[in-house]
Amino acid sequence: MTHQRRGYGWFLYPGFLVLVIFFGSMFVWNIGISFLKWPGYGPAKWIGFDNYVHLFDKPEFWESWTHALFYVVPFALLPALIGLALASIVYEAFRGTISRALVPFARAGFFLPQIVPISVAGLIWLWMLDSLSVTWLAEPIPALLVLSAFMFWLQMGFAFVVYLAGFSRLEPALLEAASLDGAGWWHRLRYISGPAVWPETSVILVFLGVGALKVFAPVYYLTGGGPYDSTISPATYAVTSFFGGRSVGFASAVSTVLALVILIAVVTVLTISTRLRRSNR
Amino acid sequence: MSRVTGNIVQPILVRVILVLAALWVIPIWLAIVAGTKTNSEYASTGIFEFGTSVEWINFGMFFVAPFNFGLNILNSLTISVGAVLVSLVIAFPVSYAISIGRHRLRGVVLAVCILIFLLPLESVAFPIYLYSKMIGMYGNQGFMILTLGITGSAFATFLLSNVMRHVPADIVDAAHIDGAGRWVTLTRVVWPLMLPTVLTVALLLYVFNWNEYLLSLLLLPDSSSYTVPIAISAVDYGQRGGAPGQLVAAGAVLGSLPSLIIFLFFQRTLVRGITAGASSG
Repeated sequence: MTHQRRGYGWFLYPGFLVLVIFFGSMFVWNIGISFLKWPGYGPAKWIGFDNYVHLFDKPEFWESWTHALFYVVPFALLPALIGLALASIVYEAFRGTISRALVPFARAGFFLPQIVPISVAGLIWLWMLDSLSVTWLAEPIPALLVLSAFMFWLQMGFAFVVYLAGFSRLEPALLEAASLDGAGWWHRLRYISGPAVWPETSVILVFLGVGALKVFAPVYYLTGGGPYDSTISPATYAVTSFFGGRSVGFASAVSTVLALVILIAVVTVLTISTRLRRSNR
Repeated sequence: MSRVTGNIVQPILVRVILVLAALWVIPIWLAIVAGTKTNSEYASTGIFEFGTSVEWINFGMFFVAPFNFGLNILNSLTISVGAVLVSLVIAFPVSYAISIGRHRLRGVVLAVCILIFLLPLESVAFPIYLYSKMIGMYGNQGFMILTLGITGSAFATFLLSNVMRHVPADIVDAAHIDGAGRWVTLTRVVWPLMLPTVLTVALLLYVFNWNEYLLSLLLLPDSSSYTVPIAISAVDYGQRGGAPGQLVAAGAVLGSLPSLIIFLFFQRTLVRGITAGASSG
């Protein structure tokens, strides 16, 4: 098979180099800007780590990270939990021929928010809350709760659909046997179907967890980070600092910290999960 | 399996799930209901009540000045389709090299693709914006297409190579024995086999591109170059005292319609793409 491994460089390098050079240079450039005192035009001044020192003094920065950690719950944990529960109910309950035909409807309903542009979804929610005379977006804690509901509404369908596909791998006879032995829904989920979809769980948690830390559009289009910065995320903080024209260097520092945190989180999770997998063998 | 959940519980569960799925669609449903009402009906009827007839002018007015929504749709179409093509041109040969060719950089390429996919776009978006200004491409549609296309190629490579891995080695070997080179094997053997997957990836990327907001926000400054999500979010509502409610709703329906139509026709394909990405991760 050695002949298969040679001569494929011509197919690999052009595209891969475009990808690596483009992202690599932009990423390094962004880090470079974060060491500058620069409003986005005119001369720039090298100030070393001053932007970062300045950043760690800002209460907004710490608030944005507190929110980011909080958003992991409605953006990743709740969608995964409820998505798993709903998918397992659909998998077990939609068995009859008529019910089976209804699965696409359930799937389409839950998945719909994933398809609509988030700016449009945000506009619809704003309009809907206003029509129902709900003014929660004007106060910090209620705004955080409405935003959480919005995030949950957006992301649950993703987890649901992925879990539903995962369950299709299961052997129905296995669950049937378990239920004949007296295992209820919870026990079947806890000991059979739940562990079987562990690969899906890890993908959903990594993907949505990272998505929560770097969340931008749901915040930007529903609350704009307000009221009084009570819902800002690191990503919206970076973008609004950039647009606000305060300092491009400062905005780059905010986004560099975000990228580093995600990098560290991903590498840690991957290392731990590989170790666990090895020790389980 | 009906024995598992019991004959009484099952129909109730099916109904609960369907009601929940319907609940998920309610915001978009309400927007459709409101968007088809006249101004006086909008003021006098409840938000769940339909108007007496469909007020097409609510939608029609978006296609004339000052909105010129037709132009935004054209922009979004050009950019989305163009970027999908760029992504595939980059991703297909790279996937071919690492999956069929088993290039030694396979692990590196996949790691880079996952990393690009997980890192926040905000950590490269500011330099991309500065770069576009530097080379005089600020507001240029071609630049936007290339940027979005390169970004999408990371995800496309990940998905394509995961499926391409399962192309039987015998088929490729047979082609080689028959005298087909690597290029002919790609175009005559692997491409036709991969066509369904290519279409799935293209469709997914198309929806991602259509819904993209951050790069559009940064790179396309004029209202004539706005994409649909940006144009819709520019329809002021709420605190800023913009358009009347039924028009906001109509605009939101228009903005989500292109994605909704694709979703209705290709639900299975889209879901298959999402789950293929998740279950092979």
